[in-house]
Amino acid sequence: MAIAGVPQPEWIQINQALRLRRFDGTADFAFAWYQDEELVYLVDGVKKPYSRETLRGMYAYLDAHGELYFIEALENGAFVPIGDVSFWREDMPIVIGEPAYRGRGIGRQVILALMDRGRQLGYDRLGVREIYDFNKASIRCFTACGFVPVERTEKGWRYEAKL
Amino acid sequence: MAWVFMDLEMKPVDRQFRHQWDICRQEVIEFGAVKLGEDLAEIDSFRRLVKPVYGEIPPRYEQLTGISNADVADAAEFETVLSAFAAWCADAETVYAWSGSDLDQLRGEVRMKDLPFSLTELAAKWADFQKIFTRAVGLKRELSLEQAVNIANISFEGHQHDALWDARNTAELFRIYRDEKRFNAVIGPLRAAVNPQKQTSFTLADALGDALKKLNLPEE
Repeated sequence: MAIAGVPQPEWIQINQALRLRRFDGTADFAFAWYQDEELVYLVDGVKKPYSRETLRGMYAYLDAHGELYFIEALENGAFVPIGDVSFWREDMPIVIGEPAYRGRGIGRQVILALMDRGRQLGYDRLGVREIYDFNKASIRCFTACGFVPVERTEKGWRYEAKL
Repeated sequence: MAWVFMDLEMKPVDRQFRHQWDICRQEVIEFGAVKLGEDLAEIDSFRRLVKPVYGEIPPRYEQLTGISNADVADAAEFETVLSAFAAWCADAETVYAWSGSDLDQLRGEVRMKDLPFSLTELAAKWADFQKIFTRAVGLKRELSLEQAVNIANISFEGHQHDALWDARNTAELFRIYRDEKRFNAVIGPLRAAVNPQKQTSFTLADALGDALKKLNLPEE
């Protein structure tokens, strides 16, 4: 499901080696990502690996609230899923699930691409509901893309970027 | 959580130092920065002059920055001030500069002077507020700090090309950016003029007034 009244594209090509693929209901490969306690801690604030049911529930929630994509990188001539991102006006949760692809600026490229998508949709701003204070990588990633902290939350800040 | 807003003043590397000039064209002569706390009040400031190594400050730059050769005669050298600045920024979540060129200058000068100093940590928390603010107004070409201050309708505090005061004015623009009411009041009309599809609460006549023309903004 897409944002109400807005058709979701099947693909968003970011560059020759990176693209977003619309969620199609298949996500078995993502289960391994959410077994990483450190990753789950950054996402949810607790170190508890996801069950398959939790994973399905999360994707169903994200798919129902906005545009859900898998981030895919070109690897040996084929695109493979390396993370997920979803986006609607008030939030943009993003996970680079494959450790080998972290710290390579992929998050920034994805965020900038979705900011462009927000502009195409006529949005004047995009929000991120909460980034935990301890998630330094995410803070730096969103800040470098132009998001600024605007409101204290329980464990961090809500961020916003004007488009 | 704290945020730093910084600015540098530079002077050209004397071209007689050909090898150095090939690596980096300028030397920093002043670091200026302010630190804001969570309520956006200024909680600290940093201002240090730097003694240049490759030539004196030309008269035009003395005039522009208000920093004379006599002022920097006893100042610390670049590496000492850079280290002090980096340490001062340690508790900051983000270091904002008005443009990306300040970080490029630090990188270039570290390379030119062959300093054993890593900018990795500082660079990781660096952000270009010029780009953020310009995009927020809806323009593609970057605004100068003076243009942004004029658009935001705040009087320029202190004098331009004083690193501390430039940093302080950048911080004030950040406060406006963060304050929805102030942002809509001072930036909204301009934003509506350049991006009419995004905001409908301002008319073009409201937006234009004579402000755009007076500011001599670059055409989109």
